[in-house]
Amino acid sequence: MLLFKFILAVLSIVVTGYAVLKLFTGPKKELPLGEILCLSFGMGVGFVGLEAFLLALFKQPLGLSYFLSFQFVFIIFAALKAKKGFFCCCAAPWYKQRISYSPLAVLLLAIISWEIVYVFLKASSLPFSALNWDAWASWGFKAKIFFQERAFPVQFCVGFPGFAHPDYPVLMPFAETYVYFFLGRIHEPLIKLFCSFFYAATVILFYYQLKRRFKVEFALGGCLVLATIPSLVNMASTAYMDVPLVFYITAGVLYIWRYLKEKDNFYLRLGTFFIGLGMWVKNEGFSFWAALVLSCLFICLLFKPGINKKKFLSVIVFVPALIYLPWVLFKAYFKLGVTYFQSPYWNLLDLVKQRLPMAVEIWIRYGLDIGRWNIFWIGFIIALVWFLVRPREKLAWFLLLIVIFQLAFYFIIYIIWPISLADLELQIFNSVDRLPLQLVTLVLFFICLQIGEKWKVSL
Amino acid sequence: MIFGIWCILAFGSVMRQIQKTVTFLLPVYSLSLEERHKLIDGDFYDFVKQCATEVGPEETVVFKAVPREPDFRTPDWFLKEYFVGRLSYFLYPRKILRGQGVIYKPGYIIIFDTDSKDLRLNYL
Repeated sequence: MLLFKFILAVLSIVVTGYAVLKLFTGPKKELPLGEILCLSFGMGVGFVGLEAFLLALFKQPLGLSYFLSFQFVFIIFAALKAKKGFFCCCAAPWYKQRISYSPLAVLLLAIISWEIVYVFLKASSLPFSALNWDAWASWGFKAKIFFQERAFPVQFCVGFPGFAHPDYPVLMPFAETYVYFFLGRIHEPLIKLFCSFFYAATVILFYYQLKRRFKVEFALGGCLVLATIPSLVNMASTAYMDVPLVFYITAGVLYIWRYLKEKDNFYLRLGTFFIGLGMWVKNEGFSFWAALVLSCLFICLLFKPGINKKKFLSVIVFVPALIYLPWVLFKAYFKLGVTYFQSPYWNLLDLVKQRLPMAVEIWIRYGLDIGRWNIFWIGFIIALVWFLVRPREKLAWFLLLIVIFQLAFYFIIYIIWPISLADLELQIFNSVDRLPLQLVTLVLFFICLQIGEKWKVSL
Repeated sequence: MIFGIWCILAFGSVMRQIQKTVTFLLPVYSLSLEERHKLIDGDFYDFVKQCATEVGPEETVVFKAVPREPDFRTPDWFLKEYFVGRLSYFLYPRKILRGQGVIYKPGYIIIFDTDSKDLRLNYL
């Protein structure tokens, strides 16, 4: 019965997300079913999370009837707007072409499927572990409070010193709360399972992005690499929010990339929407947005992408910012500052000398750990050198610049964080598995663009 | 070639995953949720359950500072080092391994009605 309720919760999220998607796509837009499902899930989680947040601010106590009635009205509105096309889900011509799965493709598909099943099993077998602290004491804890209180106890969240990271966005805790409302109780293994869906959605979405440009075998090979990155597999079953962030950033950046290649405004809207939702998942989502804006600026200055640059930059800047605005206002109202910027930095040069080598050394040591990353970062270095010598796709700078700026943000935070050197070392050890993880899909897509020349298909 | 090396290394981890699934994950599915929590928390789970059944309604829970890594050899380490009173098992994180930095000082109480099983969060 509990599992049935859980399935209902996920279905309601997907259906709501589908309605949001239809408002964006209109009836004529053609996407493959798998891609639509992944996008609907991501949109749906974003919708119910924000819905719960806003309802909790204005209407208490929270209840499932509020959620569902609000969603029902929204779905009706979307159906009326899309008319007959609301239920139409036809694949694009490029996808309709007959695909013959070679034995190699079947093998790759089997391994990818196994990885997804394994992550689901691992996630749903046990409750939160104390070893995965933030998933338990921050994200999961908030969701439990919202559910127990049937409200957003703002003063508690803001004022209680033990409340872990009050400045962290609350979209995902509220999405977890939504599932708890469906279940009617707290159930940690099922919440972990819910979060692990983002892993599957990321892999599937990544496949469709690769499939758009490359042959099936190559696309599946790329997905296999992504799905078997040990750090990603480990993190996917813990209910940390890094994997959901990876999903939103992957969707956001790769659809904007697709816009740059195909000049279809729909992809730009979709991409920026996902970036906006990514900003609601973790604070790093904000720096991703900043990295994206800087990258787009460089692309517009250095290349001739054949688009309306002013319009492009405006959409990239303002759409995610507008989506994120309620949380900015909330934080400003309750004076929730980010701790990284709370002290003056008199001796910045000394801090750089002291901290940067230590951070870089730890990152390199962990990056080369095969047990954590296989040979992912070694492959990236090879592809990067090759790219600098002989770039296959010049527009891949778009991805590379985002990665570079985001890395720079991470290290800037390490340098200016007002904590002692010993504490910083601990924080670097705590984050060295998670922060590089946020970049893997963009890095892997970059590698694929560089090495996939032989497997390209004509658009 | 790089992809080949990747696959060889990934194959090893897939084999370990299959082994873990057969020997650990699948047997866990036959356990009740309570038993799964015990698997994670050990004796601590029983302690919390005991607290939840033995004290009267409207009991106050005060979270206490965690000054250092606990001495697990002492049988009542959780009482001395972790908190006073009792707490909702499901609401608050269980074993606190981090030490300082998460719970700075007692500052918040959880009101737990044992009859209705309702929880309320109140300031001290």
